[in-house]
Amino acid sequence: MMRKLCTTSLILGAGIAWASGAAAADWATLKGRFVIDGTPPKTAIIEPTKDQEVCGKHKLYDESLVVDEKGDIANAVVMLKTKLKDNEVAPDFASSATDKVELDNKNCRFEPHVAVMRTSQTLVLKNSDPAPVSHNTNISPLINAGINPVLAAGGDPLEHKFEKEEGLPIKVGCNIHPWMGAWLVVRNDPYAAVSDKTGEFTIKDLPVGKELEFVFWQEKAGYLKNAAFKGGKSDTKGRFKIKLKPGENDLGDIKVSGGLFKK
Amino acid sequence: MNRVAFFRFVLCCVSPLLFAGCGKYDPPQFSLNMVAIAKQQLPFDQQQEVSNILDGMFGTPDKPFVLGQGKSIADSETGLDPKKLAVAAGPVRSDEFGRETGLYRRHCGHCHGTTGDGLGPTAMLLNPYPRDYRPGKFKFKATERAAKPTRADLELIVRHGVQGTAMPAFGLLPDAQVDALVEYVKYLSIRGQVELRLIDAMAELGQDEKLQLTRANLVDEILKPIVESWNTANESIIKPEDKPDVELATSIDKGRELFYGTKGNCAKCHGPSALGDGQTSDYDDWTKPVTELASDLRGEEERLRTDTDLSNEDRVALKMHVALASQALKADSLPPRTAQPRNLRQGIYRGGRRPVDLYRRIYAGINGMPMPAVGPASPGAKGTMEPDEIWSLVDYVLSLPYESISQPPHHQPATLSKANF
Repeated sequence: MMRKLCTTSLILGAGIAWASGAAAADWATLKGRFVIDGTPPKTAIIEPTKDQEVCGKHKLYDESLVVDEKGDIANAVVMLKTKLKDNEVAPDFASSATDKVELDNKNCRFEPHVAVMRTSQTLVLKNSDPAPVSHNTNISPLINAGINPVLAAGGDPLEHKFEKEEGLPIKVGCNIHPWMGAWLVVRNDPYAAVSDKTGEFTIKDLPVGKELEFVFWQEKAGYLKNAAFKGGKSDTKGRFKIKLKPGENDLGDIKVSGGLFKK
Repeated sequence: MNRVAFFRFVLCCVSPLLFAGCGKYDPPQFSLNMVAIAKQQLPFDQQQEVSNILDGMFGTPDKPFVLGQGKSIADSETGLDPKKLAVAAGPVRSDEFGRETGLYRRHCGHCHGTTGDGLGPTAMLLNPYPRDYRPGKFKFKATERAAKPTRADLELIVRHGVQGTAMPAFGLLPDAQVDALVEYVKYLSIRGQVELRLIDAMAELGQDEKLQLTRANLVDEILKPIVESWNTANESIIKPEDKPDVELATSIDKGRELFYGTKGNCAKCHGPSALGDGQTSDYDDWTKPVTELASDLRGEEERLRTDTDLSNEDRVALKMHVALASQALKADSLPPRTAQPRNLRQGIYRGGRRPVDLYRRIYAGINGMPMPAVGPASPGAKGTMEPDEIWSLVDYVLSLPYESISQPPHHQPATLSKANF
């Protein structure tokens, strides 16, 4: 009896392992790296006008365009435009569906500069700066209702949920410290990403074989139009269509015209 | 020329003048939100489409129309009463029984504008500027920050005016007229918000995509959530816990600490002496689109002047946007003014002077303004301040005009005597 049970569980276990292995291979990863095509503009240094005794100690700079010396563009957003059915979303995302997404006020700036959340997730607003630096987080969405709570130094974090998806990243500011700015991406699906310091982004577990439309966006440029990458180019609205194959799909360097940032 | 011929000649010259003014007049039109359109760089065909959709959904200033006019008001898509709108809309008239119509144009339009854009002919003479209803944001109300005002909130504003501004009190108007005007303000606001959503929806379209003119898209997706927010305003009324039974002096002391402390942080904007001089470089949500567009425009003009690598195609596109943006700023906006934190020593409270009014201002902040909320981000959640702390802050703020430094300098008795002359 015992042996029979063991064998059954072994077979079952093997079965599950096989099934999940197959599932992993059925999903696609999209990656790429945003690079500026042209000379990156100079980054402006910010002189804090409030709470200088604390904020003056930090190196603050204009984050509306963050480009390193190699031309890699950080904080560019990639979002899926195609509406997916529930069964087209990888089941792995279920475990993070109600996670908390943090937006911290730290060192007199927002961290992260672009936060990505799903409508099922909760936004946590924090203030990690020491007294007397209190902040407020003024979020003005296009579709959802706006909020602007005070975050006291040393106070507890506040939580908020956005009910509806936003078509574009929404602006976040602090009225006490006018130089502070951030963006919040609120989507129904889990398929949005932000490029890191090296310009790279990765979106995992995308459905395979279906034509998907994505959009490139950056706060200073808006839609990243006519950005050329391996095997394609975004259109005048920063969009492109792609059918993904299982596993990695690399767009390589996505070349964004420097002119788009000259504003 | 004999006399008859002369009279004929005179009659010919004068008759067009006699009949001028008796004929048809050009009915006023709603104007498009050109600042939003220029910000989103909508091409002309999309601008025309926004205008057509709005005409179809809302009619004209002389003949407002709301979807579902045949249905009961509760069942209609807008929840607006066409009868009330008809009283408020149209040209200023009264019939043989003295019943007046055209109330909006008579009492409101010269400041708030035909479209409710706050761009009426007198608007630029006023400080603060009249409210622009189109973004659907209202400042002085009993509801949660982002919620719409209740009917009672709007009635209160119409009847009592807004202290410290040019908004007068219409307390002498009969109830039915106030009611009709409130309905019309709602109508203009819903229309304006639908317009903004349409402009955003157009801007979010792909390169060759067209906005689907379906009921699902226009009514269910765009109109309904806006109407819903108006219909549920009563559920969002901020009902503060009772004021704790604390001695006033104690409460004021606590309020002062909060005012300057990190929890309230009020002094950062209202200034170290509460004179409203702490943070005066910020803009409100009605002005930000204007300042942002102006900044885009400056950048584009600079680029046209200096960027030699521009392709012809880009140059043409930039020039077109420069033209659109400068026209929008010239014709469709007022010179931007910064948001002024209130001088709390004057005892002038735009949103009402009752303690509960101040409680709500502090708890929820002021919608559309930099003024943040010390209450929770979402109703029911935890906020930065507890109700008893907010009440103390109310007590402190209400005490400020009575402090000796708030008083005007004492009258100096004349020291001059006849001998000085």
